[in-house]
Amino acid sequence: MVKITLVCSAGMSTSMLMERMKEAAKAKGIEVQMQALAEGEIKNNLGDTDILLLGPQVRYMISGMRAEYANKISVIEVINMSDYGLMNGEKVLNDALVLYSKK
Amino acid sequence: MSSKKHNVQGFFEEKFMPIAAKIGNQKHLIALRDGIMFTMPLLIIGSLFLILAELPIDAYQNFMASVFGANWQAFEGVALNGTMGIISLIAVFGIAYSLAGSYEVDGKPIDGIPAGVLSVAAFFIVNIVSVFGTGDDAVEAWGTSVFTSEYLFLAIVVSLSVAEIYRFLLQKKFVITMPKSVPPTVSRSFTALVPGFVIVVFFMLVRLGFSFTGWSDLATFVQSVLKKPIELAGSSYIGTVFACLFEHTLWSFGIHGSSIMTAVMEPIWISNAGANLEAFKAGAEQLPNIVTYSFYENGVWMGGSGATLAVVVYMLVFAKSKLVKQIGRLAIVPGIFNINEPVVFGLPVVLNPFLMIPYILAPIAVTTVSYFGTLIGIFPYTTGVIIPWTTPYFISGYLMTGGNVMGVVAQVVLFAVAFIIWLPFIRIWDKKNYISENQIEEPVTAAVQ
Repeated sequence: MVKITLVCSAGMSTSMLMERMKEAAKAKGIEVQMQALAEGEIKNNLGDTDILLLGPQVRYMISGMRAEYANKISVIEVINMSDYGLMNGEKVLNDALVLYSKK
Repeated sequence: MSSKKHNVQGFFEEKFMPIAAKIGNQKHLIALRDGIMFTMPLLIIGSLFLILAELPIDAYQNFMASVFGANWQAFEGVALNGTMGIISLIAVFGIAYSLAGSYEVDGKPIDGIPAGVLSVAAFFIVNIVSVFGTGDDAVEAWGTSVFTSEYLFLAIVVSLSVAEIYRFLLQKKFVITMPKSVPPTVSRSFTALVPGFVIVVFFMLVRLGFSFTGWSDLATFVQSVLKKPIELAGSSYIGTVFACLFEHTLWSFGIHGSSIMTAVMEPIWISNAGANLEAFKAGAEQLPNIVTYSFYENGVWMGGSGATLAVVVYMLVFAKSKLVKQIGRLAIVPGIFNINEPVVFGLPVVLNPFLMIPYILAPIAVTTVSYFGTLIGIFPYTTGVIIPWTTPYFISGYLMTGGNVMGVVAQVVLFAVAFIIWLPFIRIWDKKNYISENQIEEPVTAAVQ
């Protein structure tokens, strides 16, 4: 099972996206385990995850996240702005899984 | 068009992003924000008790008095002393804990708890013990105001210093090192001893040093030299507009401006809120501060950044284009709880010079009308209660003004102000999208015919 973590400032808007990604995964019969975290929670609550996606509003954190977790997490990416705004859970999920399968 | 947009974005990402990254990843700001976050539950719970006790509805007040006796509000003081009354003490731990924990020694993050504990100790050391009463009745005690938001700035100064000294000594190996055979838990218990001793002595010297100055102690120094000017700047109209402009400019480029701005402003707003709360509880006619936590986070964040609630309602009801209508449907429920990423990234506002205008102007106009409306006495002051920023608009107006219906009226006016500013822009944007959506479909039908 693929584990996906979404991160934004308070974990609120990413939790909206997460619900849509879960629906998309369910519709396609893909098994994923997901969590949405606030940036302050990453350190203590990240656990093990395969894919780490940042909301575009905290994309300035990407270099820090890669420096810290690149050896543990194979996909660390920023979510596309318009997919984020339109809460396109299906596309965000697909893009992330494609990247993951290439690693 | 699209290549031009990409150039703008590319330019921005290259020039601006590193600066945003620097601010957004700044250890002290993050520690400040996370440490203040420790106090939030207490601030909100305390506020709830205050609202329950002070709700200005005669029938309710009479009912409570008849059931629980004339002194039924006695719980208010007890609850406030134990929640809002100790937030500096919580912050002094939380900030030092967060800051120390963000540093590393030998590639491993520092355990922040000892730094937090030492920070509490240092806070007590620099605060002067007063003697209350005389003769046999004399009691030595810390004044309770020391632990309230009144001394939040002192808490910040102490906790940041403690965490810096602590991590410095740890990184310089200024610790008792145990032989390898000693279990790690045991040896860890000694780690904090030397830095802790140094920190305690340091703050004793600080205390001693200040006793020779005109300020007599660190607290007085911080209150008069640091707190006053920062508060004056931060709670003035100009300061608030500047914070608002900074926040929304960052958002306009797709960066979480609220998170970065509030790291600096929240201590000021919470401190201001505390002062209002004291005055409100004491029954003062005139509260001291217009700009408080809820003034901004519940008043200006109307449906989120950019005062977008009104425009989301418009999009939901009147939009013709598919995209704009879709955003309206997507954004309305989160918008009620002041979350609006669908508007910011979906409409989009980000990197869209046209919609940036109302997005930046509307909250500034809301701040302006709200500030001067309060100043001239039309709108009520916020009582200093702290309610979650996710509290729906119009409800927040009632709660944050001590159950004043005029607080809701004020929010209706502010809603109208934001709506008027957004209206021309969203109409043009909707029309533009409607036309381009239909243009794409037309050639296809023409080809079929």
